Amino acid sequence: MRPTGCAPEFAADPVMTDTTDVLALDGELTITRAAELREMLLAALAQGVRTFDLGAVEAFDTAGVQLLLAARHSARQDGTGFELRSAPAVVHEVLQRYGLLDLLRPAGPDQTKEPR
Amino acid sequence: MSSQDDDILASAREGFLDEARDMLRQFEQALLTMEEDPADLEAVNSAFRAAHTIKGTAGLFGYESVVSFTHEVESALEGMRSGTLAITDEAMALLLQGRDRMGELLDDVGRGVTGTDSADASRPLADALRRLRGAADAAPAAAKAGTPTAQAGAAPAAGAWHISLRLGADALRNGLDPLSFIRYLDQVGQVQGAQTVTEAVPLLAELDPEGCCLGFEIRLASDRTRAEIEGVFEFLADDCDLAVLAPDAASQDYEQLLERRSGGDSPAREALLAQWQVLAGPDKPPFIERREAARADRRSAEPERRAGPKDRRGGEDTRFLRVRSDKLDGLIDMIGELVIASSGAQLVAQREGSPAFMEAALRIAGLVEDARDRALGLRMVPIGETFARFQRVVRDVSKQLGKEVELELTGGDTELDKAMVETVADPLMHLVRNSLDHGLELPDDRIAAGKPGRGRLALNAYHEAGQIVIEVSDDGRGLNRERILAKAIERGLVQPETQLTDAEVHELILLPGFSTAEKVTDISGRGVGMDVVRRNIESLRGQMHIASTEGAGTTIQIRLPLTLAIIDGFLTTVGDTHYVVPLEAVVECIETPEACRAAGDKGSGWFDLRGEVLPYVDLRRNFRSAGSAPARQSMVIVRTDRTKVGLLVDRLLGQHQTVIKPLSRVFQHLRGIAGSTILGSGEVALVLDVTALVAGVSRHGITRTESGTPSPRTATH
Repeated sequence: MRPTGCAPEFAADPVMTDTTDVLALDGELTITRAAELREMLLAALAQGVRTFDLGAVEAFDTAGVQLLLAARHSARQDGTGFELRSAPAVVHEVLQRYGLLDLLRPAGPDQTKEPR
Repeated sequence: MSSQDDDILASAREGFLDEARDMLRQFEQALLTMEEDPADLEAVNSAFRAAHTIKGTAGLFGYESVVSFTHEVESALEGMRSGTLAITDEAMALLLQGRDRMGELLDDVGRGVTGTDSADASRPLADALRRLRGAADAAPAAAKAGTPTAQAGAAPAAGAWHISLRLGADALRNGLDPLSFIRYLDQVGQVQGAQTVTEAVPLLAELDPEGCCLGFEIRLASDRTRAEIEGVFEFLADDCDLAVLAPDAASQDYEQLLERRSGGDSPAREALLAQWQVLAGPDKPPFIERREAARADRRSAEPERRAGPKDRRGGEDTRFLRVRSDKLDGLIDMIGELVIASSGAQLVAQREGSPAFMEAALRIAGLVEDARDRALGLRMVPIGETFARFQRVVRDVSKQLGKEVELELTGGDTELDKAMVETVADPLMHLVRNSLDHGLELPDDRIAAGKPGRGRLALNAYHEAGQIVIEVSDDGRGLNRERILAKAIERGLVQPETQLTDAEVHELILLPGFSTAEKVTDISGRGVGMDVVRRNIESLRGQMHIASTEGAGTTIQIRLPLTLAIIDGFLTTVGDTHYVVPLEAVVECIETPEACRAAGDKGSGWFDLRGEVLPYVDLRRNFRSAGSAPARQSMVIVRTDRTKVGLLVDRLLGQHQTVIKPLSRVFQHLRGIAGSTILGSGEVALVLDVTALVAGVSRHGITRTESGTPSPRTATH
């Protein structure tokens, strides 16, 4: 088991992919578009996109959280990093409530199960 | 069209009822285990799952009365599962009553009664269950505040509430975003920290975008009551699994929650613990501290439990196929006809004298026999399920009588005919109740008699020599020879001067109207017990034996044939009539003894078989067959449950596979005939019921003089 309160692992071992491709997500990141977003994210991951820009996101809910979690899970499973950029306040608020702020930190490949 | 729909609905309902009753048995089993060992979390889970399944399927069919009542039961179990409700005797008694009520509600559904009457009848018990939960909720709240009155408006409690939430897959789809509920928590207190449980989040490709697979662990500082905090999640109730631990919850409660959330999966457990630790912050609350020790002793207690029935149950669903029993009976009937046809073919082959034909017929006969065995095997069910029912009876009755009883079940895998299982359940129930009531003593008496205070009642089943043997034994006081004799003489069942062996005395208790209990109880002792039991067993062509040692216990043995439908018979003739005796009962065949020939017209009597005196029955005279006896007759020696008997017949025809057809109602009063069968030639043969035959004959003539054990009926007239 990991000791608690240790530094997030990206600091120790920042294994990042070279790709500079960034997918910008905008509008609602909610259940109303969940199915569509999933396809979009899947396609992006398949093309090697590992960085997602949330700057234009206007609404964010639990379904959105779940999509991002699953996307990160997939990315790390592939042995690549995962990064979310410029999260606006709506995203920040939700992730804070859920204790998931670490999602906003760039993450390396899957070394430990759940970084926090 | 609608009648077809009705049919479909009716059969679906049957399926529902079957499944629900299975679940109910599982439920009861789990409750009994919980009562034995309140720490057995797996039992609590199993009970909860069973109740939940019943509620779920009943909901599917729209049986509201079942759903609403089961919901109360389920909620109580939920409380026990989450550790907010203690597993007390009172609570268990209520739950067991709840189980009975659920059974009644299901019966109502079976009878098509689904009105409000049925629901109304459940109300008192439902209220009691609710009160139980209410009391448990109030208790920790009061304890937390120190004094009950200091609650409202008091300073925030020292610790924090722990809220553990797991969402159902459909929560989001149903428009219930947990986010709004968690936001609302700000209204009832201060969220100290939250963690999202992401264990169940799959890869993106496997994610159901509108489903939900998240869980949350939240620490909330609040001076509200449990009801208020739980109330926040009220709308989510159907779509989530909520556990709320009070600030003063013991580490044991956390341990239970951890166990429940991780389901015994150790990585999940570690991950959750880590999240809790993050939530708890630097000054770790008690629930983290004792973790190591608690886990250690939990592990040591665990292996047997985890290896338990859980996994097996999952497999059984796929291994079993539900078949309508009339289809099965149809198949067995067909096989029966096939057996007859096959003997017919053999007969023709013999008559034709064609070796090739004979060989073919024999081969077919072999295959048919195989098919017969398998077809009959389809109807066989293990007796274990019937045995398991007795756990409840033993629990209830021993509680009522203030006795301590341990029930021991062995041989539950022994299989017997489904129809037989059902018929034998009642007699067994009588025997078990008898043992509990009359056999086993009160703890003090037992200790005074030098026995452990806890009595032992054992049910055992096994196969032996083509029969199924079921034993009910206890280590109680045993049968009292003097008391039985005195009672039998008082009732005029035996003559005072009669000399009886112990075994004969014991069998007296099987006589109609015999009961030695000094006072009549509502458990047994109405004097209608044992003779009814015996009649039931005999109607299955079975026998009953009693072995008892005074002061040390009683064993009652029931022997039943493997199946009711087909037997290997021994075919004989008297005049033009064919008689069949079960082959396994035949001991030997001898020439007619001198004594019988000398006896002349008497239909029965005694003869000497190598120094053993045995009764015999002349079938020709007994059944008043027409014509006169041939010069040479034969004697078949047959074993009955108590003795051996000679049957005097004209000719012996040898072994014959017999499909027993029951006699029609008109002939059912005939003594000595168990049924009929059709021979390959198309002729009818009568199947003899040797026990009844001998008993009937004894009544009319054979007066016993010496050793040959009499049937107790000899003494009845």
